[in-house]
Amino acid sequence: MKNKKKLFLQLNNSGAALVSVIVIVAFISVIATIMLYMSAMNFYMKTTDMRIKESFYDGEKALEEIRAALIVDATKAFDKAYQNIAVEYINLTPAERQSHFYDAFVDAFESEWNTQKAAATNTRMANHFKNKVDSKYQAGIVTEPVGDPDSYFILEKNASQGYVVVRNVSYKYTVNKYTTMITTDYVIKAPKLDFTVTQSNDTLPNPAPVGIDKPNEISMVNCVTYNNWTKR
Amino acid sequence: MKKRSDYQHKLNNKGMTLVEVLVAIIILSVIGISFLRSFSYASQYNMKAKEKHQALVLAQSLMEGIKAYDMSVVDTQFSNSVTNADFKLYRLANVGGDDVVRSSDGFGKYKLDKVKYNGSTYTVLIEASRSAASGDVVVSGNIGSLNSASEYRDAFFVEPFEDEQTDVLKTVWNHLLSCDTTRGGAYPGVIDHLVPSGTSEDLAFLSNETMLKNLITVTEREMQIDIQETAASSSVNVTVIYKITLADYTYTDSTSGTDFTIPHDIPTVPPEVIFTYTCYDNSTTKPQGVDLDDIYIYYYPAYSTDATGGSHSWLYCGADKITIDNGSANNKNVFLIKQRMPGYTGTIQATKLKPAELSYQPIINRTGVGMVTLYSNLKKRLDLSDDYSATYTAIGFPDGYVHHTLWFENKDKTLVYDVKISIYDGSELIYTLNGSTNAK
Repeated sequence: MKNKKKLFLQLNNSGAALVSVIVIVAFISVIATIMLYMSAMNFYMKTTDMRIKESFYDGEKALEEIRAALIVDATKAFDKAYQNIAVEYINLTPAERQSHFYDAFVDAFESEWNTQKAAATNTRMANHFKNKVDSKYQAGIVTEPVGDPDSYFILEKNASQGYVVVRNVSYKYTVNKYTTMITTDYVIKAPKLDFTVTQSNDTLPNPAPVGIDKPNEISMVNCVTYNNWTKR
Repeated sequence: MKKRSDYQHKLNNKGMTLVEVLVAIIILSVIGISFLRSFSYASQYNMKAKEKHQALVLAQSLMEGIKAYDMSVVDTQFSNSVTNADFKLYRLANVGGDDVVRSSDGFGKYKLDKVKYNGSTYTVLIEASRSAASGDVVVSGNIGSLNSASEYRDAFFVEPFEDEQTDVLKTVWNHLLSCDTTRGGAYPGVIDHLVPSGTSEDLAFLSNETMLKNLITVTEREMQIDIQETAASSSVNVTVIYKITLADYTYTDSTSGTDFTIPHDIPTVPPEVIFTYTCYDNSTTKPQGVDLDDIYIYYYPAYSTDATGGSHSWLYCGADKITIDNGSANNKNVFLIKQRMPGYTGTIQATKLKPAELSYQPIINRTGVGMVTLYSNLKKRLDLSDDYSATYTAIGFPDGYVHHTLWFENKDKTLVYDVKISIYDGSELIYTLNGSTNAK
């Protein structure tokens, strides 16, 4: 009887195919799940990449708007500096003209800066910047100061080189739950002019202060540039 | 018999494999179909993601290309004069090369057709427009730009003020010496009095400068700017006229010990001291078709008050006239660039303007057939407060030829543009990227 039962078990392979199929299905399921997961991850990464880029390109506009405001300020400073140097143009040496022009430019820009800062809410430059960007971007201007509110935006002057640096302008923009954080410095540089003209009553090729970098034109648009640009 | 049949039945598994296979096929089908649907969805999503990602890469590349250039440059990239090989915004050679068709529907509206990228063909629409902003947001502004000077188009005059004041003094000096009897005058011992024995006249002049300055009053200073132009040549001459009066000059003749007074109005005293300068003349070098445009006059003002400016104060007068005579039929730009009087000290930022500048009000008169556009720093303060409201009197400047406080060009320039790049596959919009670019 025992032998018969043993023989029956040995001869009966019913369910083996089912078991095999289940094993195969399980295996395929695992592979498929992994593939689907990888596929989903790929899709997710691409979507994330797109949204981050959309957030970045959209948010970058706020910084362009701040730059535009600084260009206008720099133009006012250039106007003052140019008038300033012109009134003593004949009395000064070329080196003195250059030096006075840089001095006047930095002086005028700082004055403009202080005027606008004084007019801003709570005399905070961050609030001034807020007014210079579209309403959708206003919340992104980082206003939480580290320490002294007045020292958050740092204005560095270099009168001998004729430039001003506005440091630590940070901007955070969130769209579709994806956030871009950009921090940059703005460098406001007085345009390069040719001050090497000597006094003469004759026709001269370049007796007026003119642009150096672009012989036919200097433009204040090129005087405001980004520096130390970081994106997170 | 029954036992044997049961036993045979138990041992006989005929048909079982078929049943199991059928069951397995059903199970496999049910599970497989559900997976197939997932695979199908996944495949579709991934295809779309791939398409979008490709479109993003394309859009991003174009966006960066647009950001790298001024919009004026971007605009020229869609003109026929630029070939696909020279297209700056994106390497078209990588996406179909010469097959790409570029077109423009006006400034800021561009199209790239037949752009091949990773086996797909796209149409790209680029829209750039002046950024819409409200409130204090700055997206455009009056931005200064300065053109270079031209040897032919620009004339420059720098008033040799130091030389003029010396020459005015010398004129009076020579007048006094000419009053001496030894030089045909009526007064003895003038030269002996003014030029001590053993001293040259030049040295004596220097030692008598203060006396001469006190003797002279400048009643009016006039600067005449004469512009002439024909088809063959242009010229600009400047005449500076000092109208003077003298005080009586009293001296003692050392030989006789007698006091003499040379009256202020003796007829030989020149009532005017005139200086004439040619500041521009291209009669021999004028290129064909090149006309004089701008005349820059660097001059020293004659202030009416506050004669405390050091050694030059004797030249101050109550009337400063500037006459611009444009004999050309063409309009000319005249830049009057007032210089700070020598003798003022201190840095220009700190000192700003002396009170004399506040009341300085020259009369600027335009004559001649041609019009003049006047630029000057007359209304400009050097400090950072507001400009003056009116500090000169202009005659002969009709409407449209008004005073300009800047002598560099101030153009209204768009500083921030909104940029929208749309990628189409056929007529289907695949992806849109919004961004911005700035003026360069």
